[in-house]
Amino acid sequence: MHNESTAPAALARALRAAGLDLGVEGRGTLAVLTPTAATHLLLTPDERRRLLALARDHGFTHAALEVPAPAALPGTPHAGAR
Amino acid sequence: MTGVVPQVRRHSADDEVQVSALGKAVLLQAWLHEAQSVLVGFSGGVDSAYLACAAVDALGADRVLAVVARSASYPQAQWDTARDLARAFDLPLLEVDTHELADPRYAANPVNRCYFCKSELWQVLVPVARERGLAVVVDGTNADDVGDYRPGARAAAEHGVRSPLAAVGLTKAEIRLLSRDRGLPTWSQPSSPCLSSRIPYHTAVTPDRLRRVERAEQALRDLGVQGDLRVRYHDDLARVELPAGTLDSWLTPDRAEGVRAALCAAGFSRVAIDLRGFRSGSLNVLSGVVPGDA
Repeated sequence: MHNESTAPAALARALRAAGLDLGVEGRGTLAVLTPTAATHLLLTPDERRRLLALARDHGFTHAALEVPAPAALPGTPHAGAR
Repeated sequence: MTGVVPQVRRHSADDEVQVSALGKAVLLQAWLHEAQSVLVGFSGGVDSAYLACAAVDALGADRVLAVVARSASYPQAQWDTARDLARAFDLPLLEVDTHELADPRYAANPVNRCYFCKSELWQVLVPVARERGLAVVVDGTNADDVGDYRPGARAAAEHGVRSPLAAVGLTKAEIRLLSRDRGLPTWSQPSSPCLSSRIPYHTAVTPDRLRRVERAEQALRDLGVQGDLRVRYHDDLARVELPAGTLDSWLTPDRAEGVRAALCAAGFSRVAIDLRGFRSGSLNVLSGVVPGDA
């Protein structure tokens, strides 16, 4: 079990090590995961299972993938325009 | 209560479920006959719809009254379903207003929030039964509900409300089966707890937040989401629980963007899709009221 203030950073590191480049925001035991590229919305069921297992290992009871506004995604035509 | 279970030859596991449900349906009829007349707390959901129809079957329409309690935590679409059902199945229907949000103990959204809601409900409905000479007030609690964390059950007990579906051991699956056989459209309807169940405990329940959740869920229905669906309120962020089997189809950039745009139009500024999908009682886990993990 991880400390509430350090769990998001630790989960982000664990996800990166697993090849999933996602930002992590902790809201209690909810992990809000922010994609850094549009392709990360296309998680396979196996990737979802691994991600949920890592979230669980870091003390989270829920993990949700944020859907960024199109302009917020790097690599999209309007990225960084706001 | 003793009852007669029909003697039916059993062929398979499915047959056994059917036989079990039919036997309990007979027990339910006997239970209702014994009650003589009933007021049914009616939401238009799977359980209370079946119970109201079973009561009319057992007692006749003149000894049954189905009562819908309208309040801010009750979605408009659910009222419409309740009215349509009553019309289609000749259920005597009364609509009353309840005001649980006016109770600061409810609005503060403690873990026993449902206790205050149901207290308000039964404080209104029990006198209605008395005025109309109806002997017993009943609700749609089923046998599966009995083991859940349900503080509302205490309020029902305090007001003498009975739960015949649970009393005869009818489970949700059996009620769906019997509802299908009875021709009730609710048989395949997703469970529909009140809108306040989308707001985490200790986050105040307000009419604005309830309407935002209601608009958001309706917008997702309009996008084509079917089955169990919850939009969980996390201040600026909406966490969407979709049917687990459909996640793959919603986690594509185009469809996810459709979800985001719809929920932003409903009043949220950020949208996240839960990676496990729909979980009944999800906020009980998030709040630590019941154990669970990701």
